[in-house]
Amino acid sequence: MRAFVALCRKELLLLSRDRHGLLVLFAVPTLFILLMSLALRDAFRTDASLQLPIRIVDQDGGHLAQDFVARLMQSGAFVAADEADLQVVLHSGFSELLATRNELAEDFRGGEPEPALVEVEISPGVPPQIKAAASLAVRQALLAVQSEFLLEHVFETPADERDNLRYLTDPRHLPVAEHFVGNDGRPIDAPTSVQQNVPAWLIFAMFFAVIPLATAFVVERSEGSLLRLRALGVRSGVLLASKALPYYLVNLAQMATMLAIGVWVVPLLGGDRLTLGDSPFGLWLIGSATSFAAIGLALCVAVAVQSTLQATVAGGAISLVLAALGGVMVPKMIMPDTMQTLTQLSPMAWSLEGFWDIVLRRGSWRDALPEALGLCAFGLICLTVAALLLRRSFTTTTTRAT
Amino acid sequence: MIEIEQLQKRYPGAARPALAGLTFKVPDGSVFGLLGPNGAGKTTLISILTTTLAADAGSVRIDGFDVRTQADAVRARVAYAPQELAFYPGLTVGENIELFAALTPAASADSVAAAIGVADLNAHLRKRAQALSGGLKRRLNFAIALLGRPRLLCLDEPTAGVDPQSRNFLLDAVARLHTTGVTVLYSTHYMEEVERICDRVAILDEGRLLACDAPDALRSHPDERLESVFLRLTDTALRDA
Repeated sequence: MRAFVALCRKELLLLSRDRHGLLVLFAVPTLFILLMSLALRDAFRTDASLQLPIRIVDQDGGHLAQDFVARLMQSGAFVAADEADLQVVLHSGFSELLATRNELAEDFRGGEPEPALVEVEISPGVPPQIKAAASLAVRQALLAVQSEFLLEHVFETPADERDNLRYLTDPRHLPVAEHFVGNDGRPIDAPTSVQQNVPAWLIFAMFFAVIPLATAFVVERSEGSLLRLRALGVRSGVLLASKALPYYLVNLAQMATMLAIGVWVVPLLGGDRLTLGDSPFGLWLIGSATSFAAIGLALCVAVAVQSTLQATVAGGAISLVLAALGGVMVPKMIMPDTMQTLTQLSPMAWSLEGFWDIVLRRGSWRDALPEALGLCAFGLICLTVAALLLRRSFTTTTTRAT
Repeated sequence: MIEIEQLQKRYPGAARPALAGLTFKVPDGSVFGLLGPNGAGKTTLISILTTTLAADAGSVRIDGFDVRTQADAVRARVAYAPQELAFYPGLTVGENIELFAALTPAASADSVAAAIGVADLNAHLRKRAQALSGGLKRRLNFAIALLGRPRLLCLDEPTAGVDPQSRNFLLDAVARLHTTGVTVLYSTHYMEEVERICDRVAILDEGRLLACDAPDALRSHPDERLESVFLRLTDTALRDA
């Protein structure tokens, strides 16, 4: 018993002096609770108080169109915005076609193609539940307008045509078309979970290079190899570059592997196939910029930490927090506005936007350029800090020589 | 020739200087022993000589080149085997040698082969460095320092933690280098090593030079052991540095 108590006391003493262990045990989960709770706040809300930004394009302008728009906005599901991931287009002729739909219903029932009066254009970044909510609200508004119109005219409808009314008030047959649109406004395929997850976890994997890189650097320093390199006159810039290039190649290999898994392996297991968009150069650009940012951060951590334990803890914690904050674990679109703004603090969020510009929105490399430049700036700042820290350690000392 | 003058170094936050105005000379072609208790300043001195650490004041000239302002010329003459095993355990012996040869401007195929021969590593080139015995690791550490045929070789406790056979081998290797005209600066805690291979020795304590002479000249009488000389000069009090 005495031995057991002594051993337990020893364990508690060691743990109480292990700041990094305590950081992992307490600070990281605390941060995660805060981030994830806030990020998922709206996903668990049931009070229907969410208002989605929407842009309405009324090409018709008729009284029925105005009635539809009014009902749509009265639903409380939307708030009008000039920049929105949801756009509802009322085609010209909306009012007239809606009014004459009763007369054409027989044809529609007989298989004639019915023109879509309302088009719902959705950015591929919009999560499914938000798309579903928008779709429902649009259909309800349209149904309400049409039902009201029919009610006003039901007694003018001949008895043998009244079966058409049932058809017209069936929500399954509303003249609404929904499709996803790319950056250029062209319709694109519906996004899939694989298109959210492959870029997201690829970015996470690229940033996770911080752990092996920082650990290797600490070992190099503690085992004297770095000292020998210094004695041989190896410059800090050469040293950092010699670490950056191999990890850049590793990051590119990661990208090729993860994208290949999304394209070929996931479908084999019954999942959706990853579509890569139309810009291989854009993919390379955003992938390279992500790699540059990740390597810069990794080198910064590598130079700053003093032990392999610190490298592992700091590297892991930074990667996880940036991932949680940056929309890797929870899609940015389902976060509340405040959290969506906060995601911009994470370079992983910039990278994810860049990848989505290419693979989801079918954009060109120019669409991903702002994110790529941001990532490069972040990487450059990190590299500069790493170089300054390393140079300082080279010109003063880090090894407490005796 | 190494000329050290009024060399000073204090680490940030340290209570006392690591080097406090050190002045002495190391003649060409000598095996020069550096003795001192822990915290005496031996490794600090070697770090300054090998350009990996900047002194606060004073000067060091090697073959007339200043270590601070003419570091590249100094590096071309000096090689360093740190007391840590300064190579990559995940690489093989051959890969480590290849790597450091590429980083040593003066290394050539002949000098690399000679270094491998001096350390007797030919049979171990394909082995991972992490799998080597303690003695072999020390030999690899030593061989890497020889890749560029240096004029001055700084060895910082090169026999720490090795078996008597490996120590004997390394001491013989240093003695053989001595015959080729290489100047060796040899830092150690082992008095018998100094007695065996060094023709001059400097005894340091708390960053100051206590004595600098041939081992025999340091003895107060012919039978006095060097360890007694060392304790007489540095005091028997324990060092906490």
